[in-house]
Amino acid sequence: MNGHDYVATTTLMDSDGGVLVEAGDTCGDVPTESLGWLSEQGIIVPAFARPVAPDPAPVPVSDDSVPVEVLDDSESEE
Amino acid sequence: MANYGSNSVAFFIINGYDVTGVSTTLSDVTTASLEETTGLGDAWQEQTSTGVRSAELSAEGFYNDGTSSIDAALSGSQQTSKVVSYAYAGGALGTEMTSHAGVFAGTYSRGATRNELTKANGTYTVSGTKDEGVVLLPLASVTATGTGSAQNNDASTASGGAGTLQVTTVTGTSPTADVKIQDSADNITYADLITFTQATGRTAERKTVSGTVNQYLKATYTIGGTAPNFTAVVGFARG
Repeated sequence: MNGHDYVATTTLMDSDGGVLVEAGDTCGDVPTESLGWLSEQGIIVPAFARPVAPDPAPVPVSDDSVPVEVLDDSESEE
Repeated sequence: MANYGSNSVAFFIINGYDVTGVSTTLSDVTTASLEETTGLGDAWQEQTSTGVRSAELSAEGFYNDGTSSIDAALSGSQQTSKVVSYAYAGGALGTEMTSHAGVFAGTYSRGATRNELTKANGTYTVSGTKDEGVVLLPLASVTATGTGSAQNNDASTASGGAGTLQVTTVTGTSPTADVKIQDSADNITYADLITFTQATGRTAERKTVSGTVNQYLKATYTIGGTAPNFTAVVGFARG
């Protein structure tokens, strides 16, 4: 894990009360060993979320077992 | 475990009014509501818990009309909900601190007797919960920004909790105090858990959180103004 990949949702401090990062900043100064629980609890979130690919368009399914009615204009009476 | 005497009562604070020194007795009672469910044919009486608990609080002491004392805290405000905090066990970091929100001074009585000091007694009706927690910031004067020591609970908890701030005295010019409770899973990095409303004078506040409360807790305070001096105590009760 790399702190630069995460953004803090709140101010994070060290045990002496020194500010590590402010809310909205990347977490490069957050000790690596803390990133796990901070991420699990949603206190830090990924800085760059991967774009979500749109769902592929549905493919039409042809069903040959269903007879297709063909209109025959030649038999129509005027 | 230890026994404690009256000299171990570190504070008894009603909405920011520290009435420890004018109080002679303090008693809190928690009662579980039961309903008798004895039926025909039963040989012994049966009781079943309704699942509801209630808390009561009472205190006796000396009548004192100081601006920071018992009369100022209770007279004329019986119908106002208060935050009350007290500590039976010395009031050091990590020792027991009990707080109630929704405390109404149902009765406040003053009585004079020949050859005695005038007494002031209060009986309090509590609407809501009783927070049995620990001290995070012992009652003391703070004059500059700082942070309290960590309180180790040995494990995280999952049911939230309630933090209480009592500010008893404030001096200085335009003094401000921004008090927070922070938690940590590793005692290395701390995140904000509770942010109290900025204090500029005597105040009391209880705030709750839900979800995970990590193993370590501590209080931090950012002090502003000219020659500020706050006397405050902070506690937290896990749910």
